[in-house]
Amino acid sequence: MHKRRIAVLFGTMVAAFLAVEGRLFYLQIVRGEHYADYADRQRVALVPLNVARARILTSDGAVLAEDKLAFDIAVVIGKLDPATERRIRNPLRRLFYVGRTQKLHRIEEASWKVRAEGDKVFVEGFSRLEVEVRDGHGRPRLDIVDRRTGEFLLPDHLIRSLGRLAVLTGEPRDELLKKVLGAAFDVARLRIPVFSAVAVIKGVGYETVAAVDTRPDEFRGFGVRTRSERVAPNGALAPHSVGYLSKFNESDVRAAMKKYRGWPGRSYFMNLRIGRAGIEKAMDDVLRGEFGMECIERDHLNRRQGVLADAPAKAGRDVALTIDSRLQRIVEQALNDVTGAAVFIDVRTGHILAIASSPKFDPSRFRQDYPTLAADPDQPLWNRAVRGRLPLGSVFKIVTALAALEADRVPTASDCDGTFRFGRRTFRCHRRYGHGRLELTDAIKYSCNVFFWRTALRAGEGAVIDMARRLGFGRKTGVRIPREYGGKLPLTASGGELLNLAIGQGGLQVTPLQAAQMVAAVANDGVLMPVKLIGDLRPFDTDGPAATALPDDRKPRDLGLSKRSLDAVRLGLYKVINEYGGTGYRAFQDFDRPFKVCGKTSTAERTASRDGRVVQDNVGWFVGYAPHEKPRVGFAVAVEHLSGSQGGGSTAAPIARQVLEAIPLDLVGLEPPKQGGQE
Amino acid sequence: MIGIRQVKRLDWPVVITLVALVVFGWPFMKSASYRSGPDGQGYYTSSPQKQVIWIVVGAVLALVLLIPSYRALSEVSLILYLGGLAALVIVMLYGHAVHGAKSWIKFPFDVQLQPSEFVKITTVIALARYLSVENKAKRMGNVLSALAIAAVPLVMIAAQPDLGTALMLVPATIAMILVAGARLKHLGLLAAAAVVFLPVAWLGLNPTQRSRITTWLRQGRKLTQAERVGQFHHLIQSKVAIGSGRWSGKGLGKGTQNKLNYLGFRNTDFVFAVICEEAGFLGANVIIVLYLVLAGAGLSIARSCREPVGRLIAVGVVTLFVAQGFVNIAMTVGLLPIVGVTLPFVSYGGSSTLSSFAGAALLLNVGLRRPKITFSREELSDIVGNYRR
Repeated sequence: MHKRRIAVLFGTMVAAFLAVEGRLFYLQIVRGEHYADYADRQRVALVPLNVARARILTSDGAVLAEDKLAFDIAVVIGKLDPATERRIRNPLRRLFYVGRTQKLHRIEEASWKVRAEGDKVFVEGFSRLEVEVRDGHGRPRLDIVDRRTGEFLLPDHLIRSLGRLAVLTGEPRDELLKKVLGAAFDVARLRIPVFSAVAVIKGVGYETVAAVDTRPDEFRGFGVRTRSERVAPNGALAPHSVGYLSKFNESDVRAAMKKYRGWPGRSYFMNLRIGRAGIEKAMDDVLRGEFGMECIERDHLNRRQGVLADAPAKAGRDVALTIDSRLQRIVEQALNDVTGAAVFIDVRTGHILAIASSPKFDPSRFRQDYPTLAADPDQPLWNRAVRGRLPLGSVFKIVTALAALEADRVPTASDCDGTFRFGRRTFRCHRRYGHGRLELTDAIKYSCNVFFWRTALRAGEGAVIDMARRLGFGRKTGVRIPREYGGKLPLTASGGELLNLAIGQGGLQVTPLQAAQMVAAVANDGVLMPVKLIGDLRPFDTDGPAATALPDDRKPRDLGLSKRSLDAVRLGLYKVINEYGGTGYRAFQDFDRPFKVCGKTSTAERTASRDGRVVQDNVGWFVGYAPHEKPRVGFAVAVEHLSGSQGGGSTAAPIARQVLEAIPLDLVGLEPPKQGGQE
Repeated sequence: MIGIRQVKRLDWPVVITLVALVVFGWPFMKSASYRSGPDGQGYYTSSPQKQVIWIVVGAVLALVLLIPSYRALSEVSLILYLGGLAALVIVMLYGHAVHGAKSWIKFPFDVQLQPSEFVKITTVIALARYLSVENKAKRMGNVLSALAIAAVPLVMIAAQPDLGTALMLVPATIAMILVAGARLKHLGLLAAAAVVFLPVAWLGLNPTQRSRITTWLRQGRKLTQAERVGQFHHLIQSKVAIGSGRWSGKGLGKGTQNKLNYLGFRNTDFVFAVICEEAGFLGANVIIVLYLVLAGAGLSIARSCREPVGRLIAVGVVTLFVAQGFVNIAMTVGLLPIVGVTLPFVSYGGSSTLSSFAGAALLLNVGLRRPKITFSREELSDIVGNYRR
């Protein structure tokens, strides 16, 4: 009988192994590919390789913005306790696991209170504490509280490390604890991997870095993480043109996810920086470069075991602006006390030598200052030079004059008695008793309204509007600054509207950049050079020569103005400053430079409502060029918020003078240009 | 004493199968002893070398155990049995816990032994002795007594708690009772009782053991991340290791689940998963076929043994090996809940290796001295020659 039973036993064994055989066939052959994929997915990780953002330079090589390494102190929750590292696979118990042999720190003795509300952790003062984070099944997630006594248990060494960090950096220890606990809670909720580094203190000094790096035993679980920070080594120079960065927002992330087909993932993109304004925004792609990637093999603790493949990151290219750092500094200084903008242009090339808006901001303190900046009624973030919507006022008389001259309809001489009757209305000149008998150049010199009203009526609305358009008003200059304002130029101006337009009032709105472009064209013998802010692109982080010019489809435009017209206008502009009685004479009295300045002042009328009352909010202008004989620099200075008694001659012109008194002579062609960079 | 004649009468199929298992398994055990470190700075543990020593010691022990007749051993079965129980008591009092189970005794020179591994063998001998009396197993009372003999060490081992090792006694006991000639009616009654007893057994399990079972029942369902890295970790990683091996494996030493630490306990409990990953379906079949050959060869020793004690010892030992091998493999592939038992002759482990070799020696001992039913011509002349002398 036993033989049969042994046979049955053997049969049972065979059957059992056949079942195993079937299972193996299913796992290895039927589902083999699935599991092979699974194994590969968990062992292979693609790691993005970052590259520093390229620099923004001036034409003379001064650095306006560059990336610098910043050091943060970060905590790695999984490394706070060796026991944690060993128990990492059990998410319910892996946090702050305190072994029996370890000395415990009772938080009550330190008299702290830690309160957790949903996602956030609060450390509050000096009484008992409650910490409770539960998982979906209502089981406690964290082992940091002794559940019988309610005591808060932290590894002793953590408290000591935090104390040392507090001494080194001056941060309050409670705040640091709060951040560490916040990271721990994030780990507990599986928001972040347990071995990821979470910044606890940002931007620490070398002393702290050295301490944490060299004494790992005293800072168990803490480490130094490096991060790129955008800095302006030359101070807040041309902040509006340079612009600023911020982290990717939701829509940037979405766009990037689409562009890179989801790799390396949301959390990576969320930490990238993108230009939000100025050149940082306009040239974002060029500056940022392309991140690379590394395909690494990792073990079960996410530790790198080797590189399987890699594609190095491609650095961006430095963007060199046309700005001259010396002039820019001078202009910004001159503008310091006013609300306004100034633009200086090389008339022969259209290169912007300086462009400034005031009040300005400090890009390196942007993050801290942002709330104040955003709330400031003077809008320091607003780039007035390209976005200001300003009435131009009398400076527009240059346009009216050119329109009439080209149409050959300038009155040879005209009487001004202070009033001008048009239809049933009477317009008044700004000089109550009139300017008397005038011809064109003196009309410009004195800025006689009556003369230009007559002139405009004789030339006709078409000629004036057309000339304004040819000189670049009413459309964007095309300089590569984001959100440039194109200004406003009426399509038609009949009767009274034409009279308003003739002296730059009414529907006309311009930016300081447009005004500078216009005067530069006049100074450049009627050839309008497209204004440029970006000079060329250079290889990343080298001080070598220019590599590539930025393609620009805008062409210089010869406006076809006759020499006679230009000479007449220029003579007028000369007289404004250099003849007694000119509107700019007083501002430039005793101007002691080896060149003469030409220009036109203006006080454009504007009203604003302040506290429910309508008040005068005039704009003072000074627009011109220098030197008189061989123009090199065209400029426009606009000052806002003038009081009733102020005018362009008393506000904008002195600023222009201040700049021109200090302008390096090589920029006005009186000295050979300096070779090489200044910095 | 053992002479050339005895060597010739050794059951070579069993010997060759065991040698094949050891030789085929060791390289994978070595491969599984790698531990990855930061920046690719991994290292091998010393277990492959230690295992060689254990195998040598085990082989010597096996030779020693071939010297006394299995009958002589069965004569002292009561002493062996009580000795085993005493060892379990010592473990209970002075034992050393590894992974929560207090089942180890520390010896000098960093040697740790697990008495429960040896108790399995002594219990089999005791049961064989008890059941070998003519018609003993025919009565229900005696069957229950036999169960009690097995139950005492079983409960003691389960209390360590090492349920896996304890449960290995169950199939061996049942097989021995079956072969001893128990009535099928009684066996059916026992099976029914076991079914009734199952819920009670559930109450006796600790939370870890329960979660092993619920995990096993829930495999293949949608899991949360916490579950994937928590209680499901070993099962998932084992299945991934096995499945990703496919037909012929990734090659010895090239298993990523193995080398990158994704698979835990892989040179002991999960060594089969490493074999599957690195040698594929084909390599896995080598192990399975070897186990089936071992089962066949071992049971044929039992079959041809006329003496009940020898027969039952052989049945018990073979069932111990094969059941443990089956349970180990079945748990790595997810057919059974994960219980901590090793793959005999392949997994790393001193006690497991020594007790496996001791068991093998018992089996060969029976094979060596079994009274043959049929005699070949030479054997007959042998016997006649002995008689004449």
